[in-house]
Amino acid sequence: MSTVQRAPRRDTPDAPDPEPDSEEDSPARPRRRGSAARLSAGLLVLGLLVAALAILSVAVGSRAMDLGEVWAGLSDANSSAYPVVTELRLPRTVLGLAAGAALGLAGALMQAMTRNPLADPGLLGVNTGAAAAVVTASFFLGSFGFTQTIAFAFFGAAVASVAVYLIAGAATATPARLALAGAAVTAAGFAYVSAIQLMDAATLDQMRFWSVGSLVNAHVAPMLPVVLLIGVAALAGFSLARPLNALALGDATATGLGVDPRVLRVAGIATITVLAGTATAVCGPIVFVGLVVPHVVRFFTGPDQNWVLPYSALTGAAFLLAADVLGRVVGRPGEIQVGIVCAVAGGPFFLYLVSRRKVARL
Amino acid sequence: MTVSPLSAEDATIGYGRVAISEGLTVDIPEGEFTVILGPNACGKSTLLKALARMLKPTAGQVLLDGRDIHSQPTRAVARRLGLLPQSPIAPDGITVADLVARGRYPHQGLLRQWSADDERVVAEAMAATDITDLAERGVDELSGGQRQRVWIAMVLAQQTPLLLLDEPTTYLDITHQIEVLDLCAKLHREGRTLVAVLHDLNQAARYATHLIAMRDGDVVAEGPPSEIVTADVVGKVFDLPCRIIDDPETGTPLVIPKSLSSAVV
Amino acid sequence: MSAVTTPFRAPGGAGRAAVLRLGSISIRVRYRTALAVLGAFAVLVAVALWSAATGSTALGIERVWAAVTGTGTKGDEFIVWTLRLPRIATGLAVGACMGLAGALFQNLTRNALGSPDILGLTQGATSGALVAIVLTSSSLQVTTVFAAIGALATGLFIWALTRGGDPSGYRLVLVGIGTAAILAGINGYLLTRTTIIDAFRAVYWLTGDLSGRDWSQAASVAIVLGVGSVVVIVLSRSMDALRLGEATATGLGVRIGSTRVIALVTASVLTAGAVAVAGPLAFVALAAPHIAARLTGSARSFLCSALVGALIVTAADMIAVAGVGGRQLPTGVVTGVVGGAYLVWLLIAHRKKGVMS
Repeated sequence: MSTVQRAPRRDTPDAPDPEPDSEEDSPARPRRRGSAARLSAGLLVLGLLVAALAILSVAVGSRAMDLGEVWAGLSDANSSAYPVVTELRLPRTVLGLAAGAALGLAGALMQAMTRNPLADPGLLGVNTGAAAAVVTASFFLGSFGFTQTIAFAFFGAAVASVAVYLIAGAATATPARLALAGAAVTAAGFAYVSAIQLMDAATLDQMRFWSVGSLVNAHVAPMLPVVLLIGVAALAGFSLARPLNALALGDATATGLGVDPRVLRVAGIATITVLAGTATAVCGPIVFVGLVVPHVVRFFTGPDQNWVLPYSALTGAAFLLAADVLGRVVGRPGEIQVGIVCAVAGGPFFLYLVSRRKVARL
Repeated sequence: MTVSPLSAEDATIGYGRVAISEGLTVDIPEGEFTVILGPNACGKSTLLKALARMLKPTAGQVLLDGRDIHSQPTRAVARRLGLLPQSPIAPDGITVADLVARGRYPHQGLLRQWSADDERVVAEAMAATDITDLAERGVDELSGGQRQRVWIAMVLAQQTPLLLLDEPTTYLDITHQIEVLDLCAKLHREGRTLVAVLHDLNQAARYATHLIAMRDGDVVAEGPPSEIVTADVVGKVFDLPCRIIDDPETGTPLVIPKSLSSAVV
Repeated sequence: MSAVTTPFRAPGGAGRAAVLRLGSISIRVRYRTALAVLGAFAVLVAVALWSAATGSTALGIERVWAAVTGTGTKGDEFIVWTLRLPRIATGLAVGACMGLAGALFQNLTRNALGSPDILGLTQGATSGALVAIVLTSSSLQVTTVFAAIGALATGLFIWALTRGGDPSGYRLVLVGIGTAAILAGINGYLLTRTTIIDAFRAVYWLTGDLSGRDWSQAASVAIVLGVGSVVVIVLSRSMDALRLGEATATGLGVRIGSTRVIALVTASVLTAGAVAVAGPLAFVALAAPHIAARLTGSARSFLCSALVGALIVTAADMIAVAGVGGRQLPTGVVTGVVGGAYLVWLLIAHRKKGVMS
């Protein structure tokens, strides 16, 4: 009987050259960012966290009540807590969940697609488009209801992102051109919004509250279409994970692997527009979640989009809910808008992560 | 014996808190074409980076002309020692002539932006690497082999007696590899001291005049190829059973690996 | 003169360029860059003159000239010397500062979107200004000082968080966006907590405007611009070499750490000076380097970027003064539209080729 004996090898045989070669990130690279088992467990924990926060969001608000009251508010339509809990807090929680997940996911998709860490859904013109549509409507039509606001904002977001895509060169768009076109449209839109605000104080008054991002009007939002839109778009977004992993290796390699970067970009932009457009329409432009959550997520998951995308969605939801609850508790008897809490509470945490850990590049 | 122009003395080198090599002492002999070789992750590129002052040893020091390289002004060092990194970045749309001209940086200043010397040296560097015809082409339109010659020309334009090359033949086809190595040999004949990290044992044996074989961050053997490239040393460094024959082309040692899986014990 | 001009072509050098040599001094000028710079400069002069001659009272070039040389009427002299020239001078200096700062940030971060607007400096200046407006309801002068402090403090903060550790532009980018997000949140909070009148003043300030700027403000931005320009001239060669990547730049003898720190500090000071006096003027710092790169065909003309910045602001201000339907607009409204529209046009026109695409 012959025993096949290999010469002892110290390195993983599949890595052609594990020797550190690029000066910045080499020491970090050999570190595996977590096995599939660990990441799955993490996803479960995140899911539980989101559930816990959802319960908290129903139970806690600017009006303090004990758990018995909360339960009564949910189950008994005649209880004094019913209007607050079931008619205000419950829809608010559902929308917060949906919007947070949509923003986190849209941000991750946007950064993966443009391969630019500075990209956020706002760069597609989503926020500016929504804002421009809302100020236009407010200026010409005067005040109007929240449902109309949502419709205008969504329409504006969609128009703006299509414009950005066309300016960037449609099928010939490269990530850099997409980013520049987005920045140009954002600047022009922002100028327009400021001009209208300065001409009309009533519009300014409406916009300064809309533009910080808030869930305060969530109870009058058309719940079903919003949740449906976000749900369908989220499924579409998750299905892009594998092609986006290929795109991360560059357009050429992606093509070699059978992914058409142009088709992928169209699909990505459409998905992002629906996700971020809906979320922005419901709760105003909350830039922070889409921009920062994917960075935080990549610290833990590494660059694999199969993990980055679901983690970003759940983290976005958890983060937005937590910020909303915090804003209601801290701001008692009123509340602090969720967009402000996101930035002011989440920002320092993000800076702490950035200055402590090796950053995961795109 | 001449003083080594570049050496590591009892140096501990690594990334962050991870030490790749500890207490490493290496002399680069003047006027030789030194090749550092060894298996993946043996610390050869790390050693080259330390010699090129891109990594600062956490203990010990790297000496250039007998003085600590980190105590010398970095521009002065750049006039003594040129470096070709493993994957250099060319800015978008830059032309060949423009890129080669960047090599003059350590010789230029605010008021000395483009002297007659600069012009002559850049022209010579492009002639030496045979890229004069490409001068106006964009670097991004070139083939891998051409691009590598352009980068070498940039380092040549730096006019340094010492040249450090980190895997200059990676990603090139065999013809371009030989082309680049022939160019290195020519530069060596013209009197420069070269240090290169190479992957290919046989190419190292053929072109180097001095070999440094490394494993696990330590120098296992050093000396002329005829002494270093033996079945014994190759076995020790690479865990590779092999035979050594004379290269019928050059007479230098040629490594013929034995199959790993059929090595029946 | 014994200056020699050698027009030279390859082999031996950098594209089509002219070299001036005098003894050991040699200066190299790329033809296309020179052309772009001269062109931008000519347009800039024309726009500045035009904007001195027009406005709510149309004077015409002759009367402006008469007023400048002291032979015009008292009224003309007042309009030209006290109202128009300081405003134009402020616009020129502010635009140039922003163009330079934008070019520095894009180089530092090696990112097409790297600009003071995205990295938090603008938000820092805005926070400072908002504190002044909301808490002290004070004058423009106090707002200016507070805005400058806000921007500088933000620059310092970003520097403190990025120093040490890995020297790449990537950490700078992340720290910048984190800082920008926090400050934007604070700004939003301040805006919602104030009366509608203060909010109106605040939004007016953070749109950016040049109206009513006097010589002292023009002079203070000009000083910032002067100092910044000197630093940028000295720094430009190492910044240029840094574009070849850290490894190659080290090989060429660039002191990477100090180059980066000086560039960051300079860019912060330039932004602080410009934003403090004129408000954030959307988009100038981001657009100017891109437009300059497309004009010069090379992504490294600081001078051209400064000129383009000045041009955007001056042209925008002229349009702002002309206004819409008889109402003057804040300058910042127009910079966004003008800069945005021009960049859009460039993107469409240069669909195939182009630097930084």
